[in-house]
Amino acid sequence: MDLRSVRAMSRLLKLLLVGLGCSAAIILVTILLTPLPEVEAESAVSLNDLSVTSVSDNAVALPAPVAKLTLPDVANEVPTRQLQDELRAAAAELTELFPADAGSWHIAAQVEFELLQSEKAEEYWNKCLALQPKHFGPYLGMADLLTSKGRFEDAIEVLKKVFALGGSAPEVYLKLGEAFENRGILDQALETFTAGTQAFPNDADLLAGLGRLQSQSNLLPEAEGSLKRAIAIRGETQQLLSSLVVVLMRQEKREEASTLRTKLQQLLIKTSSKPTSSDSAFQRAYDAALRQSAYRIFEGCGNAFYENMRFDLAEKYFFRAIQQDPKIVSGWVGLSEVLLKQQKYADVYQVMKRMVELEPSNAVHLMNLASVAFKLNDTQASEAALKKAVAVDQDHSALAHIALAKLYLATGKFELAHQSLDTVIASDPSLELKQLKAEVYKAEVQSKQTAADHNARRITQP
Amino acid sequence: MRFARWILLAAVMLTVGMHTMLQVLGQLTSEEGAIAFVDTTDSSGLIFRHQDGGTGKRFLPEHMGVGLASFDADGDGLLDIYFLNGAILPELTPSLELSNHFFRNCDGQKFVDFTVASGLTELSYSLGVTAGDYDNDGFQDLYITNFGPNRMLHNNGDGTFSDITPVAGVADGNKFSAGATFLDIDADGDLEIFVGNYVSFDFARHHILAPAAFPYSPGPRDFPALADTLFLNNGDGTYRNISHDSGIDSVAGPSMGVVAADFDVDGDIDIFVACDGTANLHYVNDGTGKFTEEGILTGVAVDSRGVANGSMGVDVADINADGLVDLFVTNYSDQLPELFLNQPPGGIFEESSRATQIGTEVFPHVNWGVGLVDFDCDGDKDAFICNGHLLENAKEIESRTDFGVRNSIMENVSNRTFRSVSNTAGSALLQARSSRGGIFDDFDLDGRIDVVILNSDSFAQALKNTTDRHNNWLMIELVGTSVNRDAIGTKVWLHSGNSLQFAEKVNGRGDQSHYGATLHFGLGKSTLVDRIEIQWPGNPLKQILNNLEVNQRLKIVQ
Repeated sequence: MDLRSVRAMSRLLKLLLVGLGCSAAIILVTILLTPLPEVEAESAVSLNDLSVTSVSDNAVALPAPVAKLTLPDVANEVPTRQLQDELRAAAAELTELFPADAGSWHIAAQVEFELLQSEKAEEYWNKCLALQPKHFGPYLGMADLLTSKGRFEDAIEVLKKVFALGGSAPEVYLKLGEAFENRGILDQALETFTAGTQAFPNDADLLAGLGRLQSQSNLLPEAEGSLKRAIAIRGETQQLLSSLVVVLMRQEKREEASTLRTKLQQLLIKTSSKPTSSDSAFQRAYDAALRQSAYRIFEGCGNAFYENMRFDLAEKYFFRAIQQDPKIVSGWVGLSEVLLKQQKYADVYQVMKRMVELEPSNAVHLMNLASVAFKLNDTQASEAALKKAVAVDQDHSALAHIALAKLYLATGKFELAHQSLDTVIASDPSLELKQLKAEVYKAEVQSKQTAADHNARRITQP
Repeated sequence: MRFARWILLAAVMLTVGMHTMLQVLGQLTSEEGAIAFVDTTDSSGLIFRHQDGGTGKRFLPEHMGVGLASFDADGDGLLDIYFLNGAILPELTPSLELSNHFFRNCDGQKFVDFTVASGLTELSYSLGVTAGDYDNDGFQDLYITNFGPNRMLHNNGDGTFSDITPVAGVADGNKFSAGATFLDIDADGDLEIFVGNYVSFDFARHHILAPAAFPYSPGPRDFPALADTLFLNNGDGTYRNISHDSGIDSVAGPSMGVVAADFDVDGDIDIFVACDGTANLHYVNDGTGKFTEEGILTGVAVDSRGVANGSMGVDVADINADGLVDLFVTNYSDQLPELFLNQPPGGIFEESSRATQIGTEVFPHVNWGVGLVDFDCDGDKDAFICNGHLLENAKEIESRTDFGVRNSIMENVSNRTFRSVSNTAGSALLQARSSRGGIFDDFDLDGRIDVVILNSDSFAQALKNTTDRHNNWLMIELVGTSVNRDAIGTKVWLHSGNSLQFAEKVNGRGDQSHYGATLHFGLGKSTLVDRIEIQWPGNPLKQILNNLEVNQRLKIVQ
């Protein structure tokens, strides 16, 4: 799974969980050395959020910690039946322990929906919404369920409630537009997709929907434009290529359409490849889809238990998530956070190393890794991670420089601390940074004074 | 009326023992002129039980669509019916009990089993069938596709049939075939045969895969897809396999329903093949009998989301009255059936299932047979969709559907959208079965299109159309002379008042089935047909008839 997919999944997860207040999945582990606000890797960080931390604050004397978790390298492919049972058991554990938590029922509903048990799914989402009617995640799930039952009018009503609650994510426009389309109300579908693309001009799914509706409305040049914009953002997917080919053919642009046809054929061959002699392609496709869903559900369980302060169970389910697919980073993020809550620093360190391996250019992962390394008194590893963070990501290099300065300050490398700070101050001469530089001067003087006092004592008290 | 509906809903909960009462209540619920059916299975004598030959091992042939055909076997003007049947798996042991069955239509009301007397006993595991006059002798012959060698049965003209497969050379090896259609690819006046082939299934591989298969059994993607076959009619009672020379074998997909029509309005006949889980195929004819597969370019390979669905059956008709034949394809559960609207000037399709609402009701179900016909004679084509999952325990796996579910009728309203009338079309539509093929013809000669359904591992159903006779109609039987006698590929435009209807004579359609030998036009309140224009295959000139009376069966000879 590539980074784009990871981000897309992360966005989906965020959408599903934000409504319930389960924020754990999207919060990166707070760096110990320089606490960060709750940000994603690509988000900007204000220097106001930084605070100076002295050596004594962080360098807690720790026993030599040993990592206890054995982290998976490849997906653990349990039999389908067992995985289905496990998903049901996870949902049951949540709803039994926290029946008053809407999030428990939201996840239970997702499990049932995934296992195509729509009656139970509807019952659980109704329970969820009765407990917490103001979060929009469950409404989106319910809308999907109603759509799958062909109850498009009901889906439209549910989605309108999301808008009434102030939900305005791309997915909300997408689902509402599709609901109108499913209901055959093309003008409102077109209107919704248009509004969606105005609010979120770079959302490929909305552009794809808009293009499809424009094509059905015989707005062919407009459809071509929308679909090409979507392709520029998302790449040449089956959906986008197939839609664009038809739009081009209808405009008698056969040559261009033929080029795209070849690309689409290659994609279709990939998804319907011939079976090998020993493998079951049909079962493989089913299992792959289930495992993908299982990942999402286990991760959701991890978040739900985290929110309810059951860090042991949260750890269990984040771990099950990464066992399903160790290549998706969000599960590792959740696991690292819950391990951190339990102060299992050695395990956190191993987990964060995996995060860095998965996303080596992610400066936030590197800074978090540095933070934990520092916590483990491994200042060399901490310094190496921060230096790498400076190198890999220009957007976060200032933050990494500041973290480095704090590390040097804590370890008495004042000259290096000055150098790191000077690099940042050159482009951002803010008061906060100047105060930090003053701290370095002060510590440097104190250090010299301490050394002088020590020498004096040594001379006068032989 | 509202009270009657309430009673109906309550009655639905009752047992089969309330069948008669349901029939009455079902009729009570019908609005004036609304589509209505009565189950006449028992009274018609169409007692046929399909058996899939399964032993609980879920071999792929058990899960395939199964077709049936309506055709006039004895030239008496009444449509007879041929049902397909399975065979005992895996041995395929011949058993008379599991033979295909032929029912002769005696008087429009009663059918009699004439299987043995007519020589139409077929003990193979049959899956698809089509009827056509391959030798232009005036009698309809049969081509049957099997899990095993296919069969061609010549109509002797005296009510009996002879197996001419070896002579004709159309067994097509020992494959797993599905839909088939007669068509004239080169407009030379005789009929070729196109055969859709499914996959290269073998029992040994099934046994290897089955233990780990959960919750579904091994499916089409577990076996290599087969290329389709095209047989050229040599004009002397024999055929030649031209699959390679014609370009038909350039691709391979798990083919199921097939249909042929002039989609791009260039005067020759093209072929559409519904494929199970891979991109549908659209073979475009260059006019000389050479085909190029262009499903992606013409917009029928995948749905509007770019997904290659598990497509099963297919029918064609001019859904939106624009003078072009559109395609309707049935699909697996959780996949909306696809309505591909043919865009002017013709040949490029826009998937419009959602916009038209045609498949809304059947989305949770597996759909198979399909008929685009004018049940209420109001001048537009409605849709009948046969539903039912392929697994007996489907409810446990997918709670929204089941092995036995109700079939659906979607009424065309204003040539733009469809609405479900399944709940109000009478008790016949309230029965839950696992239906496969359906045929749609006027069996009792009353001008209304009736339905006969083959149900998997169960008894067939005959549904008599009892829609009120408020609307008028016209039926046209076409007879070719210089073109193929069945007039397959002939186009008809019918002008009546302000309305214009278009139809093309096609063969072999639905879920590996055949029906529609006579073109049926609903006329609404029109009391006169102003003009009919007929364009025979390969001829740009039109034959024109003016000022025709309504409510008649018209035989037009070229």
